[in-house]
Amino acid sequence: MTIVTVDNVTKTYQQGKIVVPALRGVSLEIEAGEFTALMGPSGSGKTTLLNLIGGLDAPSGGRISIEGEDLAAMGSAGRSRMRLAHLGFVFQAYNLIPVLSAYENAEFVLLLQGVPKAERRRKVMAMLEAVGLEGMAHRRPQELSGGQQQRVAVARAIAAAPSLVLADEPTANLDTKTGVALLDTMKQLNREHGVTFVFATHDPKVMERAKRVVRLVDGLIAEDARIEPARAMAAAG
Amino acid sequence: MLTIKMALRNLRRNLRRSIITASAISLGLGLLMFSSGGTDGMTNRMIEKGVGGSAGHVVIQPPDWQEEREARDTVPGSDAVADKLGATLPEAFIIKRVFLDGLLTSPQAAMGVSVVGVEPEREARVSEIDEKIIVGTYLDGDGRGIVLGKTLAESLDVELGDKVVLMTQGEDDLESRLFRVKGIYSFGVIELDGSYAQIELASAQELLSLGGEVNQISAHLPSARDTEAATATVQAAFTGAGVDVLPWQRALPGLAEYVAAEQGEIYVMYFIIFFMVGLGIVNTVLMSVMERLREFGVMLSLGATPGRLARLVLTEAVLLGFLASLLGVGFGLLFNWPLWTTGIDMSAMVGETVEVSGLAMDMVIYGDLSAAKTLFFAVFTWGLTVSAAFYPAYKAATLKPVECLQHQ
Repeated sequence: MTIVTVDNVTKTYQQGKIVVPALRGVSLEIEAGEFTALMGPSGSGKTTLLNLIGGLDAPSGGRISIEGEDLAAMGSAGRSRMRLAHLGFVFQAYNLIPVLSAYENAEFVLLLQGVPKAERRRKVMAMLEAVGLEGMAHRRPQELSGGQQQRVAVARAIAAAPSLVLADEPTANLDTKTGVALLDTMKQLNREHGVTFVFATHDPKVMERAKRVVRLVDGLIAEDARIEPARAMAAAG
Repeated sequence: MLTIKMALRNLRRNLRRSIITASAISLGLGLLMFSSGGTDGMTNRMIEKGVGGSAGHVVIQPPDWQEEREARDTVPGSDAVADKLGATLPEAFIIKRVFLDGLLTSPQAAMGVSVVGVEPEREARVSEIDEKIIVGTYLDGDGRGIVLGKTLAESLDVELGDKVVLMTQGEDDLESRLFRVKGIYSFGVIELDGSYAQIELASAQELLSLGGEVNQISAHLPSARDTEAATATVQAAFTGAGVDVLPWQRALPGLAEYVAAEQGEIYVMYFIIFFMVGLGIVNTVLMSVMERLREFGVMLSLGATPGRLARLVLTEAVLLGFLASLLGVGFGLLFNWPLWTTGIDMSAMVGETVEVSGLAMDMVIYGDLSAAKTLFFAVFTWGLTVSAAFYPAYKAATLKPVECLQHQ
């Protein structure tokens, strides 16, 4: 099932008198269950594409739809509702809400969705357990390490069972060991729960685990390769 | 509940700023209550002096008597009217008076005077004149006594016990009577000390051949705040009786104008002070929004609506304003305590007595702060705090997620 359709999307930014093209005509589709990495050098348009898919910004041209709904047809409140219903986010800087505990951060989206308390508790504790933080539910972000905060962010992103999780450089602020552990957790969620992940990343560790790598250069897709079938063939061969 | 929980925690997050902002609001409210208590105390004291000495909170007079104040124009059936007024307002103290203008002569001089005929024992309960006697005594019911001001006594060159003649227009001709100076008073106000005197009511009625009638019957209430309701009650009771029923504001228009002008000036000052406090609150709340741009961007990314962000900012202001208003009322009561107990003695700065609108005001200021006004100020302060958050809430609601996420 196609979750995301990006159709000839362009995005330009105005910096004073200079017009900067961030995306020059990108088209792709993301299917359910994918573990996809958007890779490329700085300025290639990875984060811009992620933000456009997430409805955090609007394209200058082209069309993006999430589960068949055209983002351009929605107002800001409509895009908020779309994000609430279909998307999860993991940011480079963790971006936990500082006045909420780990439990409350993970619970946040479920609260916005109006999920009853008992069901919220069940889902949140399950997600915290899935990321290995069930004993730290009541800690505030400032009482958690970087890796632990990012795990909470992952739990928050998937607690409401979104169609798609968008992760922007999730391992950039983590040491190698912590980054690997986090990616393995996300991969496990993808494998066992079918959570779809799209990463904007420089990290080769993400590429090693990705099923698909979309390489962007200067705002265009230079390469779009499905890796897992090739990897599986290599392992079997 | 989430919004309230987050709002409370956000206020605690930057506790120093929250305390400083709440302190500014609460101290402002406390000072407002102090200023209001002192001002209202002075104003009410002024009203009591003016009303007590020259009219009443509610007065009954002949129709249109207020303009000409003709001495021979009386309230028909004055005693019955006074009894009915007392029955209509059981909590009031009823006073009857006759007002006349005349010429007061001594062997040495003659002066134009305003004279009021009073019942001395009753008059002493509403007027200060008996307390201001500096020589002799107040009227004591012997029928021939007159009390006059120090300046008038000096102008006439008379002393205690001297005889003076009061001449005025009688029923058909000029009438005159001999009076003996019973007492000399001093208010420290030229108008009161130099051209005013009191004689007994019966003497005035006899002089003018009024029989038992009077010019004015007044009701003195426990509090001036009851004037409006009492006036309405008396007007209803005396409809069609052929008399004017007036509140003190119409009986003493000069005093009423002065009080209104004072109140107007005070409220302008309050507005200016709180406008400036409000601007400070806007700045503080806006700063707290701008500091949390990234956090708001994250919340929008997760699916919070712009309206939820605005509600969060407003809820923080509601809670902060509520707490600050409670604290402010506490400060206000504390600041008013000395005004209620001992008063504040300003005489060292401005003298023991100051003339205000023809009245002699003592310079010990006592406070008078009503519960209704306290509640109004507290609610106003709370409302001001919330209103000051409208613009920052609007800014929060119009944030663009991607720009916020890029904010450091």
